[in-house]
Amino acid sequence: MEPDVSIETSSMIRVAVLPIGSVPPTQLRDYLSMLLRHQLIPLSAISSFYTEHQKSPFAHQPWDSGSLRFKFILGGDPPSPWEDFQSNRKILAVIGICHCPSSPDLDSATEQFNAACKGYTSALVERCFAFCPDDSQLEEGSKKGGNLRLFPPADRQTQEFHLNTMMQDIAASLLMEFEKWVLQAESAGTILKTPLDSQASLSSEEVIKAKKRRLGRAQKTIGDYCLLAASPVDANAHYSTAIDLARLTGDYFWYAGALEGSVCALLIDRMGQTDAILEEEVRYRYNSVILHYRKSFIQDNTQRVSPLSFELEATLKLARFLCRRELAKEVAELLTSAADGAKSLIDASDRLILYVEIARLFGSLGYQRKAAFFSRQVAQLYMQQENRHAAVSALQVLALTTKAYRVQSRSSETDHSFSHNKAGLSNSDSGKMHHQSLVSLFESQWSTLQMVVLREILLSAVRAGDPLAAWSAAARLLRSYYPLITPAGQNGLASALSNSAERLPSGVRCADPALPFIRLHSFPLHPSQLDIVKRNPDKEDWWAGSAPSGPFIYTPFSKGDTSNNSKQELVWVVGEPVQVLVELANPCGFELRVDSIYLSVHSGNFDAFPVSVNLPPNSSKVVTLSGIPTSVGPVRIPGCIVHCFGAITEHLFKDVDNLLNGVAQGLVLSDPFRSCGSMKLRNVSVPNISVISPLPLLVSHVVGGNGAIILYEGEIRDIWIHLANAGTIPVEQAHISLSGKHQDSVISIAFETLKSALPLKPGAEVIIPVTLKAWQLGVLDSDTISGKSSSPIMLRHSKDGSSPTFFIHYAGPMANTEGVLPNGSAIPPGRRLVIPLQICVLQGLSFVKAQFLSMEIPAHVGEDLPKPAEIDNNSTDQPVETQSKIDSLVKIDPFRGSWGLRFLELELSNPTDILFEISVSVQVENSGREENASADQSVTEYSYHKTRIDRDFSARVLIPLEHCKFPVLDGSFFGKNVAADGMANFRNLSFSEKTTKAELNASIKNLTSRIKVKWQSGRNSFGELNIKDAVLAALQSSMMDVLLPDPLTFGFRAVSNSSEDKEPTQNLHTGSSHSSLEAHEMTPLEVIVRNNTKEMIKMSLNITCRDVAGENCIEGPKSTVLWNGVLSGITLEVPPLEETTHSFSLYFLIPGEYTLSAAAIIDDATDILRARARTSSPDEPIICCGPPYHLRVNGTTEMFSHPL
Amino acid sequence: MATTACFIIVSRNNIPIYEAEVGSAAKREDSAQLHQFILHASLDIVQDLAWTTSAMFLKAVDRFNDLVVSVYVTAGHTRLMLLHDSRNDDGIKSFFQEVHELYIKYDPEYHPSPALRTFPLEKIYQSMYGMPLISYSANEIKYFLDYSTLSFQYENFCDSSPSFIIIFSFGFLVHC
Repeated sequence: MEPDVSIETSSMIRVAVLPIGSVPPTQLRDYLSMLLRHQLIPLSAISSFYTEHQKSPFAHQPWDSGSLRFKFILGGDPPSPWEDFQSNRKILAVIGICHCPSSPDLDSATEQFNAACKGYTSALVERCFAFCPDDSQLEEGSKKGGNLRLFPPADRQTQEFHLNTMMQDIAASLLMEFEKWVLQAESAGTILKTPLDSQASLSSEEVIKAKKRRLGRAQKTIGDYCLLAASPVDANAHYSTAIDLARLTGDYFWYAGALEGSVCALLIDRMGQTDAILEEEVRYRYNSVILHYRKSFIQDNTQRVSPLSFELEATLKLARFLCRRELAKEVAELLTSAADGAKSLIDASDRLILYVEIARLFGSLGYQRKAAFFSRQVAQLYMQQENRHAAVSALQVLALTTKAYRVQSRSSETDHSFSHNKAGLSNSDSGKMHHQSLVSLFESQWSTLQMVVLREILLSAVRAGDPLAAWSAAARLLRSYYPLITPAGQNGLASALSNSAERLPSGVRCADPALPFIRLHSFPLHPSQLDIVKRNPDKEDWWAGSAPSGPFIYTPFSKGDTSNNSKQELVWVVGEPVQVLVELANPCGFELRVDSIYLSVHSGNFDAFPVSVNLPPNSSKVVTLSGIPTSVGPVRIPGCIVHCFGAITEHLFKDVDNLLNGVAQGLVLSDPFRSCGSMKLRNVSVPNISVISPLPLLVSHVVGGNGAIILYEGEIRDIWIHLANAGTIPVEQAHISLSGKHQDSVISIAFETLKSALPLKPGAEVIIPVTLKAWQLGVLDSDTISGKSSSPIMLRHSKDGSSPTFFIHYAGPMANTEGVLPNGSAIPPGRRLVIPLQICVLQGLSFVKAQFLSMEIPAHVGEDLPKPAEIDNNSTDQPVETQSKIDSLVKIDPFRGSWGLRFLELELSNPTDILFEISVSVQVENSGREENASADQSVTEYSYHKTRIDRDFSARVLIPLEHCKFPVLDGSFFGKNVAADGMANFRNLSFSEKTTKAELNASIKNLTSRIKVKWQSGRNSFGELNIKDAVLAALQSSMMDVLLPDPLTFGFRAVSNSSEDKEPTQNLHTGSSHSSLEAHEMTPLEVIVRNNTKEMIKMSLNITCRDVAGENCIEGPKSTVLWNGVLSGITLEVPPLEETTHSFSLYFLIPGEYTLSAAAIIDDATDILRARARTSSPDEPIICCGPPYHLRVNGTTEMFSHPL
Repeated sequence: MATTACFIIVSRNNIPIYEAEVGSAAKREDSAQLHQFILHASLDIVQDLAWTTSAMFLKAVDRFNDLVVSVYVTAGHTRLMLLHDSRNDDGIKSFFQEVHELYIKYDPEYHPSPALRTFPLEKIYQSMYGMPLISYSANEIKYFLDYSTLSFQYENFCDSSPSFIIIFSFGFLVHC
C-alpha cells in the first residue's frame, strides 16, 4: 500500500530525490522546498525544450492546457513488484541534490550519484543538481557536462528560476522518453507481469492465457504512460481498448486497473471541474473497480500475494474523491469497509498506511473521534515495531489524538481554544452552548479512554526518549486521574516523573502542571498596623468616612456595598512585603516534595519569594507565599510557579476553581482538597490588586513589652507607647483616637508629644506617655476570676476586646510626585495604626461590707462646756498637728455634750497574692455650717495610719465620721427619709420635695466624697478604692443619725460651789479639764437643755444619777446621793434654738464614779419630732435621752475618818 | 448469543453516564478499553446519522473488526449504545426499548446524576439474555444482588432518592 493515494495518483511521474554526499539538513530542506514548487509543469512551458524526433504517439496532447505532474520521493523507494501493473509506481526520474561546500570533490559526487542511480533501473532521466559551487568547482563542472547541473551561487529568486528551467528540461526529456517507450511498446510488445501471475506461469494453459492477455495489458500500460504524459484523451482511448480486451480474457485485475486509469483520465480531462454527473460516473466506475479487484482476489485465493491492497487503495481513492461533509455517510461506510480489510493485510506497514489514510480521511470529514480512534490504532502498530523511530512516530500520532480525547497538553492550548470553539459551534447536538463549554472544561468523562491514551503517550515518550513529553503525559495522568489510579500506580507515575526529570536539563518548564493542587486560600488582610485609609483632603479629620471605621472587619451595614463591587480591591505598597495564602493538596499516596513554590505574577512588578514544602500522602497544607511589590501598577496573580518533580510548571488557580466547580456539579470524580481532609472553602477570587507608591509606616510597641498590662482594679499607671516610622516617607500628620470598651480607663494621652514630634522622619521615634486607670471588674468578670483564676484566663479575657484601642491615623506629605494612584486622586492615602492595649484587670482589694458604728464616751461634768465656736476654731486652727489628729477629730459634740464617735467600718478582703496598704483620708469641709457661713471654704484633709492587708486576709478600716451633723433639726431633711422609710404619714409636709432631695443628696454626696480610700501595693501600684456606693449603702439606714442632730441635747455643768466666787461665767473658761467634785458637799449642778428645732418644745425633764454599778442612787432604799431641787417631772419650755438651764444640787455620800443623765418626755410633739424619733403611733410618747455624763466624786480622808 | 458486548449510555453532552461491560468472553482489560474506544469513535457517525432518520433505533451504525455498534437515540438525544459481535437486530431493538423505558423513569433531567448511576441495567440485561452477569465496570455501584426475592438493594448514592428500590423481573419499579 502506498500513502496519500488519490485517483490522480495514476497521472503522477514519480521522481526520486537523493541527497548526494553530505547535505546539511537545513540546506536539504531548503533545496527540497524549491523543488516541491515544481510538482506541476505546464506542457506549454516545456515546448522550448521539447524536440519531436518522430511522430508523437500522444496525438491529443493538450499542449496549451495540460501539465505534467511530479511526485517527489525523498530518499527514493525500492522498486515495487507492481510497477508493471501501474506505471506510475516506477521511479521514472532521479534527481540528486549536492551541496558543494560540503562535498568539494565534484567527481566523487558524480560517482556517488551514478552509483545511486543504478538502483533505479526504471529511471528514464537522471540529473544531479549541485548547489553553491565555488569558482573552481564551477570551472570544473562546466567542463564536465553529463548529468551534473551546477547552480551558481545567487539569490533565491535566480536560483528558483534556474531550477525552474532545469525542471522544464527534465519534464521535456521525460516526455520524449515516454514517447519513445510508447512507440517501443506498441511495436515490440513487452511482457507485463504482476506478482499475481508469477505462479500461473507454470502451467501451459496459463501461458497461453497470458499471451492472450498481453495485448490488453500492453494497452493498459500505454494508457498509463499517456496519463503520465498528460494526455488524457489518448489514455482514455488506450484504456478503453484495454478494458475490452481484459474483459474478454477475464483478466479482472488488469480490467480493474484499466478502469481505474480511465477514471483518472476522465478527471484529468475535466481538469478539476466536477459535477454531479461526473461524480456519479466516478462512483459507479470505482465501485466496479473495487468489485473487480475483489473478484481477482477471490479467484486467486490460494496465492500468497493478494490484490487486496489495490482494493483498499481504490476504496481510499474513492473515499478521498467523495470526501465532503454532505457525503459523510457514504465516505464513512467506504472507510469502515476499508478498515475491515485491515485484518486481512499481511504486511503490518500496509495496515499502518491504511489506518493512517483512514484517520486522515475521517479527520478531513470532521469526524475527530473516528480519526483519533484510527490514529491510536496507528500508534499501536508503531509501538509494536519496538524501535525508537517508531516510538517517536507513535508519540507524534498520539499527540494528534489528544484533542479528540480532551487530554491535550496545555502547550497546544492556544490553537486548541480556537479550534474547539469552532467545533463547538458546528456541534449541532448541543442545546446549550454554555453547558457544553462548561462540560468541556472538565473534559468529558471518558476517563478510561483518556487514561489509556495518556498512558500510551507516556509509554511511547519513554521509548522515544522524549523526557519532556513523558513528563507532561505523566503529569496530566496523575493530576487528572489520581482517584482512578492505585497507590502503586501513583508511585509508578511519580517515579516516571522523576526519571523523566533526570533526563531533562534543570529548569525546564513544562506547560502541564503535575501535583500539587493549588487553590487560593485567602489574602490576609493587612495587619492592623498597615491599614490604608483614604484621605479626604478637605477635612481636618481626613480619615473620617472612609473604611475601615470600626474594630470589626465585617459590618452588616457595609455589606451591601461590598456585594455591589464584583471584586474586592486590594492595595499593596511598594517595598512592603505582602502575603498570600494558598492551599496545597496532595491527594496521592506518596509523599510529595515541592522544591519551590512562589506566586506567578505576569505583570512583572512583584518579587516573589520561593518556599519549599513537603506534603505527606493525602494531605493538604496552607502555605504562606510572600513577595514584595516593586513598582506601581496593577498586579495580576493567576497562579503559582511550582518546581516539583524536576520541572517548573505554572499552576493556575482558575483550573482548580473549574475543577471544584465540576465537583460541585458532579462532573468530576473527586475533590482533591476534600479527599485530603481540607475544609470546603468558598470560592476565593483574586481581587484587583494595585500597587501604590511608598507610604509612611508607623510601628508601635508599648515600652516594657507588648504583653498584657496587668492592673489591679482601680490602679493608676503610666505607660509609654513607642512609635517609630519604619517606612521611607516622613509622617506629616498624625492623630490619636480611642475606640473600644473602657475608653474612660485612659485618663490622659500626651497628644502634644506626638504633635511636637511631627514630621516624623523615616527612622525617627517618639514616645507617648499614657495614663491608665484600671476599671472595675463587672459581675461576670469577677465570676470568671473568682474560680481560682490563673493568668491564661486573664490574658484571654484581656483579648476579648474589653481593652481600649488606640487608633493613630497618620499620613505622609500631601503631594506625591511619583506614581499614579488607582483611584486617580493625587493625594496618597493615609494609614491607620491600631494599637490594641492589652490591659488585664485583676481583682484587687475586694470590699466586703461597710458598717456604721456609733460609740459614745460619756463626757465629764465640769465647769466648762465647750462651745461650738470654740470647737470649730480648734479644729480649723490645728489641722496640721499630726500629734493630735485624732484628738482634733474626736471632740465633744457641741450639741450633745458627749463624745459621740461615729465610725464607718469598711471590711476589705485581699484575695490576691500581694500585699496592700490602705490609707484613708477624710476631707473636712468647713463650709457646711450655717454659723460659719462666712468661714473659708478650705478643705482639711486628715489621713490616718496605714492599714496593711496581707494576702488572703481581711481587714477592717475605721473611718471616723465627724463634723457632719446639721445644726438644726428641720423638717426639710425628711424628704428623703419619707421615701426611704416609706412612712406615709408625712405626706402632708409643706416643704418642697425637690429642693430637699437635692439638698440631702448633696449632703450625702458631700459626705461620701470626702472619704478617700487609697491603696498602695509594692512600689509601683497605686490606686483608689471605689467605695462610694458602699458607703452610701452603709449609711443609708443611719443617715439620719449621722446627719441630723437630736431634737434636744443635754449637758451638765457644775456650778462653782464656793460662796465667795459667784461668777460662774468666769469658771467657764478657767475650769480646765475634768474638775472633780468633793463628797459630803452640796454640789450645785446645772442641766442645760438645748432645743435644736425651730419650734418651742415643752417637755417634762427627769434627771437620774447612777453609780458605777448602774444603781439609781437618788431613789430607792439604798440611795447614796441626797439632792436639793427638782429632779423629776421638771416642766420646761425651751424656745427654738435656745438653751434653758435648770439648777439643782447633789450631795454625794460616798465618793466614786457617778453618771448623770437627763431624759425628757416631749409633750405635744410635732410631726418632725415624731419622724426623728421614728415613732410608729401618734400616741406614743417621745422620749429624748441625753448621753450620760461622767462625774467623779473625790472622797476626803476626813470624810472617811468622819465618825458616823 | 453475544459473547462480547459493551453497553454504554451517553448523555446528550457526550458524557458517558453509564457503562457496563457484559458478555461471556473472558474479560480482558485492553479489550474493554478497545470497546470503549470503538463506542467513543462511533459517536461521530451517530451524531450525523441521528438527524437523517426518524427512527430511534439505528442498527449497526459502525463496526470495527467483528464488533458492531448499535445505537438507540432517545428524543432527548441520549444515546444507548451497544457493542456486540453478533447480528440480532430484533433482540437488540427490544433490549433498547426496554432500557429506554427504564431510562425514562430514571431520566437524569429529573433526577440528579447519581441516581442514574444506580440504573439497574444488569437486571434488564439479565432478564433478556437469561444469563448471569459476568462483570460490570460501573465501579461506583455496589450491588447486593438477592436472587431469591428477585430484588436488590443498593447503597444509596443520592439523598433525594429512596433508599431501597425493588425491581421485579418484569421491569416494574416499586419505590418503597
